[in-house]
Amino acid sequence: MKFAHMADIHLGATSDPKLKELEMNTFRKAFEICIEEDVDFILISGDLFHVNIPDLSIVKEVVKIMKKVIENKRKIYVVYGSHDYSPNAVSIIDILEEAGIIVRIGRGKIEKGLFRPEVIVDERSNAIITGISARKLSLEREVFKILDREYLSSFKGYKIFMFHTAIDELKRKGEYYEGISSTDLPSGFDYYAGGHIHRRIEYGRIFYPGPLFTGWGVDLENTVRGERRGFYIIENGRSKFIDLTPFEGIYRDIDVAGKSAFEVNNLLKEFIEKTDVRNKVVVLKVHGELIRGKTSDIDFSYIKNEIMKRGAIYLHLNRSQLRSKEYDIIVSSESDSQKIEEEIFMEVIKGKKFTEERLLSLELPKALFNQLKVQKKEGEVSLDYERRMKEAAIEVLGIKKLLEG
Amino acid sequence: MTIVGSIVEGNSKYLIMRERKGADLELGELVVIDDEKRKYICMVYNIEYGVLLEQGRLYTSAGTIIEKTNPKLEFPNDDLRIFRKIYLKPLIEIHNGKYRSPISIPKLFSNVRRVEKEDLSFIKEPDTKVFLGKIRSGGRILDFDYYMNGEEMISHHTIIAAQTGRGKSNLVKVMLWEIMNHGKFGILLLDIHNEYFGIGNNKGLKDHPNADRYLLYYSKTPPPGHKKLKVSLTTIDPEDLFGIIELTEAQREAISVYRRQYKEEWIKELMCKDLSNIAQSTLRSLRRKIGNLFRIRISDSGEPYCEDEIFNFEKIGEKTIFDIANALENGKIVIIDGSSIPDETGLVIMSAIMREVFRRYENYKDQGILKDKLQIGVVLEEAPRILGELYDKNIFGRIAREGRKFKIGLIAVTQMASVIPDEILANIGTKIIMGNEMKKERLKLIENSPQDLSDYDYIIAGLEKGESIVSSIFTKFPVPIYTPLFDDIAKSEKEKSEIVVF
Repeated sequence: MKFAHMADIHLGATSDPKLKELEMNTFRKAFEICIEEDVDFILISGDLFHVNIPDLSIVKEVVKIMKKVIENKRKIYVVYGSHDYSPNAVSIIDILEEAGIIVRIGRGKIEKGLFRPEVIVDERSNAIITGISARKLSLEREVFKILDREYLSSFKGYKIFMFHTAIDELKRKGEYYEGISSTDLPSGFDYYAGGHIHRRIEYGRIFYPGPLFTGWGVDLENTVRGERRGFYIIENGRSKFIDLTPFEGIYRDIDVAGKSAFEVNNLLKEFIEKTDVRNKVVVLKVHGELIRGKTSDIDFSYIKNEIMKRGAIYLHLNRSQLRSKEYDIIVSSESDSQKIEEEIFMEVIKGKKFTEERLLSLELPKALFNQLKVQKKEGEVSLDYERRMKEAAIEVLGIKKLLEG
Repeated sequence: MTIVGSIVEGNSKYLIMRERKGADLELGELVVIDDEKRKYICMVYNIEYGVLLEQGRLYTSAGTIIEKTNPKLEFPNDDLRIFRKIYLKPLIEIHNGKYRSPISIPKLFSNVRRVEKEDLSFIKEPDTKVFLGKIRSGGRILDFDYYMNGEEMISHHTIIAAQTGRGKSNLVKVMLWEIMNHGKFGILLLDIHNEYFGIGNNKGLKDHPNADRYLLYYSKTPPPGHKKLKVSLTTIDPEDLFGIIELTEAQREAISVYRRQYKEEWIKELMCKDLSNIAQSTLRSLRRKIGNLFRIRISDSGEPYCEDEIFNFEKIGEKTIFDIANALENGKIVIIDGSSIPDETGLVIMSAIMREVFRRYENYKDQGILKDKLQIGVVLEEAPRILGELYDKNIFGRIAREGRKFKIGLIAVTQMASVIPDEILANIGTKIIMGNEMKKERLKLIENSPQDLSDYDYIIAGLEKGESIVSSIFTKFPVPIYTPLFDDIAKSEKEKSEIVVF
């Protein structure tokens, strides 16, 4: 028996065109390897997509890739992840199942107060596959408490349990999700196919492959810092990790404490000059408190342009912990929240030098905020919404000519 | 109300009554003296014969009876010259509905009667109550539940002292059961005999109706639904070992050097890497101690690994200490099954957890938000050395000394109160004293009790299983109680929950 185990693919998570392309290429490659390796079936332990109803162009591509496996008479077994599950709407997972592309694992019924998950026997390999689907906020933990363990132990053969839940004892510092204990998993299975933890873990018979591709946030940072990405192929009980890390990266941590904005600009320029960023994903983490100047004095748009101009695949800029000393506490005498915000805004821009007078009034920011409040229309895809918002914002700011020129 | 005697002698420290024939008062019984304006609750602490005859006549009479001579010289049962003198210790004076330690004495010939439930109505149920048992009058158990204010009791520390087999663990279980009713305290407990959770069919805290919400159980082999105890050695700090295992100054210094140099990998590196500035003899001995503590072995390739399933050098269980600290902050009772690990190893885990809790609560105090946080307590069972000779080096001694300011308290359960230094004992606000035949232990507790227990020595020696005296800075008098069996409490709770109301 030979099978593949993937998880946390999060297709559609990234909005950057280059990363999007890499994301789909990685997914395609993973499936091509599965076909080459002639696996009997593929397991996807949740979060195949980043949202329950993703961009249809992504779905089309996924169906195209998966169909090759189906045509080869192999099955793809999937449990809901916390991202592609919806408590009140149809998920794309349901649609793929209806279309016969995937087989969903995790259905079940309550009998005498106990949850009996549906058990499926893979026709090709006779593997016995069952599992528990994820819910939002890890609510599936309650299902583990009422799992009919005796019922599951009655099945004999090579048994696989799929789940998309973290295990408490495997959590790392800085990981805050709610999990279960490894003892919550039903005993007697040969392979526990986990998802939800974005790290590769082998813990007894419990396997988490981690994300196949990581185009966002901390995951992207971790990949750049050396964490390998891919999936497992299990053959006759032996596991093999297929490394699909799609890019090499450069990680740079810059602590600005004790430095002025001017000095940080120089530091960043020096970094660009001395670093070969070609075909690499660059993660720049800039943090700390400036002693002089504002955070906006650091010319990040220049840095970004330069890095991209020098052939980087993508720049991920983490400046969430960057602070400027020049923002003092402002005490407002107003009680109405809108007035407090207006007062704080005026206090912050007081004394600033702008070439245009309109930048010193409240009118422009108010108009911009009102525009940014506009919600997505029914049926409007994310890309169109993003484009519409950008155009409207450019209009409000009156910088269309500037951008074109 | 049956009169059991009349006051005939005494002063503000003790009163003597003549007992009514047939009243048969016992040591430890509570009686009430009804004066015109005041009411006194007293405890019987001594019983003597009272005879208004020459002693020679008594001996002669006894001789005629045992030697069977005629005529027998006997005294009639209603002879008023022979009676029992009962020594009473005034505990409480109630005047105009208010109660306080006695500042007056009742009139001579005041009537004395046995205490009834209604006489104790001045004892009110606190908000965050912790049930300790039923008030007892000698061997008679009154239908009056006695609760202490949990916040006061835990923040000012509690000691439960008794010889083995007198019901210490039962009392702790009963207390925790009550705490689980309201979830207002986080309590950490190292269960060295694995008796609190209730493994299999045994009754335990797992049977509480709120167990799902308020109980966390960590074990090497937990039943489904409970936590597997895994601790990454990267989360253990040198501080967690100090004051738990005995270390020489050189060994402590060596540990600090490794910690400084290798940060959280210090145990791993200490086990396999020599440092030139540390003597080989120090390292050898240190490796043996730490190796035994965490069951560390060295592989053929020279890599250290943990033989025990609990500890590891990888990152498995890296958040266990953090998660438990969170649970405590959220009012949960966390039981760590210590039955399969050496006591010292369990104490190191406890130490790491309490270090994290202390760190957080110190921060909360600095931020001015400590008042919004729940009280946390740690049950330290049968660990006399930890609060004894090593107390000034470990976190538990620190909790005893400073914990009150940070809403962290100790519940020490011990049969060896005598090894606890006075400095610690004096900081413990509530002493629950159960039966103890060892005079040394009794005296230590009597000397360090918030109330004057100088007349209680004999009474403490005679306490039966489940009986105790609660002496606390929060009670006006030493309260005699009987703690019911935990199994009965758990059973009656189950029966209550099974009643269906239509």
